[in-house]
Amino acid sequence: MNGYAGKMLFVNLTDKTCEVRELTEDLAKNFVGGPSLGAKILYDEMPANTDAFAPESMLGIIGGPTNGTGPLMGGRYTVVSKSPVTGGWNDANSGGNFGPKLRKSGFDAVFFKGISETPVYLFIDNGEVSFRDATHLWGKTTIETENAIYVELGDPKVGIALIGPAGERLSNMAAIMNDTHRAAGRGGAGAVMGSKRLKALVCRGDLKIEVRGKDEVVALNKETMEWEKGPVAEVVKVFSAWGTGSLYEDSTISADAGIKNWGGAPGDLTEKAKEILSSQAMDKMYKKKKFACNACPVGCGAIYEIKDGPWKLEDTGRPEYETSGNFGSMLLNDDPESVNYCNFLCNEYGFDTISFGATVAWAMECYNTGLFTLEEMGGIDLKWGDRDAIVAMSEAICRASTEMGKILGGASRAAARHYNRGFDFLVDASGIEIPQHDSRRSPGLARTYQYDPTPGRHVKGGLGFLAHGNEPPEQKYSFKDTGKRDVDAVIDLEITNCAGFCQLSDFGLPPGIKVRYLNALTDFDYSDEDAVNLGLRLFTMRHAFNLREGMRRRDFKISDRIVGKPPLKAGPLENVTIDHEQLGDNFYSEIGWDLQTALPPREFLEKVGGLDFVIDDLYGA
Amino acid sequence: MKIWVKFVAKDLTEGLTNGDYEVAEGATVLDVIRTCENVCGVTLPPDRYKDFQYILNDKAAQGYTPVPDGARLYVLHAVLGG
Repeated sequence: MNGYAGKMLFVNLTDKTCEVRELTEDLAKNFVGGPSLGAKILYDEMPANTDAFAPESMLGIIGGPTNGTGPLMGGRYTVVSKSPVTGGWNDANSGGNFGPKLRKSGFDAVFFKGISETPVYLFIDNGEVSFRDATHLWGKTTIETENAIYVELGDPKVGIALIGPAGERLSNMAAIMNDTHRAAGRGGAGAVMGSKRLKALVCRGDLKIEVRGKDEVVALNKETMEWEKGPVAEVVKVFSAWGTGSLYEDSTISADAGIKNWGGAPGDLTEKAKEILSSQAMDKMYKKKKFACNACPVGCGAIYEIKDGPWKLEDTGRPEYETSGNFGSMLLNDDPESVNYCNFLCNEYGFDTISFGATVAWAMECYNTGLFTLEEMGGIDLKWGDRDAIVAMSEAICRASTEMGKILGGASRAAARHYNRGFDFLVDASGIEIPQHDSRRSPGLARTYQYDPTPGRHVKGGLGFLAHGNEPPEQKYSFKDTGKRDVDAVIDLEITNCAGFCQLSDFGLPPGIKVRYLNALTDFDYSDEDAVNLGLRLFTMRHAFNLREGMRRRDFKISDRIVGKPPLKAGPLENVTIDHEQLGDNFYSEIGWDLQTALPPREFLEKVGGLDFVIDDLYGA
Repeated sequence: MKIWVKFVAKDLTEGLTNGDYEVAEGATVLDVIRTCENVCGVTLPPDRYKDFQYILNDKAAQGYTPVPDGARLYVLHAVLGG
């Protein structure tokens, strides 16, 4: 089958058995790859209401048809599981080079169930699978583990997706890491991997994945390069030079970034604080070289070196915008070296920097309002903006070296429950901390954060944070006529994620080209109408997992603070309150789902196609 | 009257420098930008203005918004929003 390795690997870690199954044309055509292929498999194979850490719980690591087949910006793979945080569907994706290496090893996807008696890693070598002891790697950081595996296998070019101590400790903030500093971070998939005592998936191979139209792919790549030199040249230039961190100064001025645990305003930050954590400023001090993911002409990454000060770092990934926001403006921290060090710690221990920084912000607000004593804080005087205290608390969480550190390692909502306080300072969607784009500035994000099948994500479909945030207030705060634009954006981003494209392809690829890439790679010939139904099917598949768990619209929550209840009293977002339920109504009305329950009607499912099993489960055969 | 201006969108406003600028009473945001161009000897292409968003005294502002004496004006990337 063109565009695919054509095989999936099913691994039972309890009895160390493997089964190779064909990736059928129906599965590939209907669910493409990545998150929605994963949702379909887990829907079929994992019993409803399975605990995320139970032996029957499944973890999937899945490529997309663009991985390793030539399309520009097509290097992302996806991890899927039930989220230990939300109790619902979870998918997260990551760039780097792992996705293509997975597929070239012989499999489009690997699914794990069961629990190994002792720590293991799985090695796929050109289709040959072996279980390797990882007892000696358990407890090691991600970099230590990567290096040990390179030495063991005598090959520093193998692809490795792995967990650090965070995953081993079943932290709700545990990421699955690859390429040293790339993370499939959100939703706690790293904890699911840790619960299975699976330290790593290691891949090596040189399988050539055939595509239907190699010349067409080359032509589409040329078209993409012309696009990037043309209408979007300025944007590409910014991201190529400075990456996502280029947004930092803009975002702290416009209040897109979270400030003081989302309770502050730009006036709480000094001019230095707004500027110095931007990539434009940090590059001048620390940049060593550029870093690009597989097949990406933008190349938004960089490697930093910090030669002086208390936190010297030899080679560390440039903090993404999200990381700088969560360890910077969220904490009123204006010290770039502490931000870089916290980023390094998270990568080493395998934590999601978004939830981690937001959890420190929650603890900081609790402490500064007197909810925690200095003794409870383990002696760490976590005052707003105190860089030494921020680093000390981050180390305590990573190393689980204090009682507070251990509890915060479970993320903010679990910590609030443990201590039974600080609930008013939680800023999350269904328990997942909110990323660094404020839905009070870009209201459509409130719908995405609250109602996407994976809540609390800025990388899921919807009105977004760039163009939408810049709309005039009378337009964006009317909460009217958002449904069609919202649904159209969802359709597009579902295809982006399932194909394996990066979200920066929103501007980096010409409009409409993604489906043309899929048609050049595969045998499926998606028409324009097919593409609409495809996007809707991909979204519905992820949602169907949640429905099967018994989740309905009422179960998707968003914290009051991030929708302006009560509104801020200063800054660009002063007196803004978001009618997030109206935005949800607009979305569900447009897509034609039930407003009370978020159930898709039978007619919708029949029209979209490929979801007969969902119809059977919801409405009977 | 005096206005403090910061060009955050430096890659789009090369040659324009941050600092205080003297502008006429009743000047709008775009008038201020044009003053900055004159002072710095830089002329942005006319369609460049659509690539900016403006934050005036901690509030989002349109280009035609009048600027009060002593105001602080940030010129940000709107182009990143498409």
